[in-house]
Amino acid sequence: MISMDPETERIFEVVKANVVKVLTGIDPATVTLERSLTELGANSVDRVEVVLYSAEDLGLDVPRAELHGARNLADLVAVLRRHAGR
Amino acid sequence: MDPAAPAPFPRVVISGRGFVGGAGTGYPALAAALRADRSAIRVVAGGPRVPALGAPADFVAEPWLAGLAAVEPELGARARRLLRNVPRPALLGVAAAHEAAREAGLGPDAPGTAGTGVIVAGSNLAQDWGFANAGAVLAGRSPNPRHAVVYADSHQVGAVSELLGWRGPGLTVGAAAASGHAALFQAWLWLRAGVVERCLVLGAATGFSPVEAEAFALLGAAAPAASVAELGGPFDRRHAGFVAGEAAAAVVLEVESAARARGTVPRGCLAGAALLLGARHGPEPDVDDEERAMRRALAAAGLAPGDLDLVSAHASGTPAGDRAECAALRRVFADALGRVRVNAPKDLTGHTFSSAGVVAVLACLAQMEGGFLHGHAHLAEPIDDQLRFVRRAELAATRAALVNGFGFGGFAAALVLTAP
Repeated sequence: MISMDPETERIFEVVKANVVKVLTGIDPATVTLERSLTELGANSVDRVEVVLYSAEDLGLDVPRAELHGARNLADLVAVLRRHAGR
Repeated sequence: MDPAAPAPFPRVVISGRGFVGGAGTGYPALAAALRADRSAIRVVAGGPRVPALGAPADFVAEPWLAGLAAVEPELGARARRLLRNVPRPALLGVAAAHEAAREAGLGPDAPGTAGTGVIVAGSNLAQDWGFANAGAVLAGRSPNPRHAVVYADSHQVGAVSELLGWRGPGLTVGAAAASGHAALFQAWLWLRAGVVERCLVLGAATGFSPVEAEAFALLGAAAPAASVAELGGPFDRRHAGFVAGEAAAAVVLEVESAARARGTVPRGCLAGAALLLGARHGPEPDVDDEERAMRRALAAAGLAPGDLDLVSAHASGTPAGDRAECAALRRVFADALGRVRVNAPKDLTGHTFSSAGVVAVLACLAQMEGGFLHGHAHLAEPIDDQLRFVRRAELAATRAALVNGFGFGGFAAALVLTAP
């Protein structure tokens, strides 16, 4: 389990809520930082949805290029966190 | 011809029916509304440039999904995944397709039926969805992340195929307001040619945006009436255009021997079909073209005008469209004009565009099955005193019906339905 500071935790909760919204029927307990969206059952469109909705909820505008390297939810949260801190 | 020789083509029957529209959710709701001459037309908007009247469906996805999940948990979960964040016409379409498939005994659990074809009738179905996304982009926001997948009409083909586990041929077919006819014509050809044994035809709901609503009004094609009381329906002297209706309608067509082999009950027979162009691209109706389409469909069915009990008219509700259709009917039926009855579900459902032909086929099946003819709610003074319009619902047996469908672009189509 990756430990989280409060800001990271806040962003992760937003991402998690969107994963649950997009991946209908998923058990929220399976959505952890170590997992990738693909592992959780997301297809290419689902992944875009999760990222876009999370950025919108956080009031961020994140260039798509910055998200290409994200291997799991921890990477995604880190990118979002970097923008949130600006 | 040798009477013992086999028929050149197999009989094409209808084994499943589905409907979601202004009359309610489910084919029985449509049949009940028709039997009661109950119109779904009401005031839906107001404004100097937008038509006030419409016939929207009250369909809401959530209770439908919950109901499906209660009966078929796996299919319900699949539908919930499929129908999240999609244009509204896809919601209605998948629900109607599911109903028709289930009546026909088809679905992912029906052995030997995975080759079922899917034809979605209609083009430019998600205009309202596109309009909303254009607004987002113009305001500097992202489009809906699913837009690239679901804006296309063909999305509905894939959605139906995925829900029901079908892997046969599939496509969309468009012919403006005759799209339903075009799709049924295409399916009829596939079945007769032996391409498939069964095929679902989904008349898709048409999701006009405010752009189309204004554009049809600008053309004088949409009824300008501000209230239901002011409305002149199709073939009424006060007719001044169509009222837009919202409906998805589906039928399963099947080679008769294949349907019977599965123990499925045929609900009617698609005995003849025709789809013709008029060498013109515009909205004007043409009496000659309409006459040709009706005669060709009758010839394909091997029937004469005097064999028909009912015409389910295209009934555009515009003065030019209604007058042309009356003239074409007088020519085709001539001496048989006193025998055949005429009605049009558009008077009650509104003009549902892409699905109109399939709605009319469902209406004929309901009348054949129920032994009644539906009347009109907005027909006070007919423009033609030779045609025998059904004014109020009455009991009558229908063994053969002609279903007309015409569309902008010079499309003239006709179908012949017979009792099973």
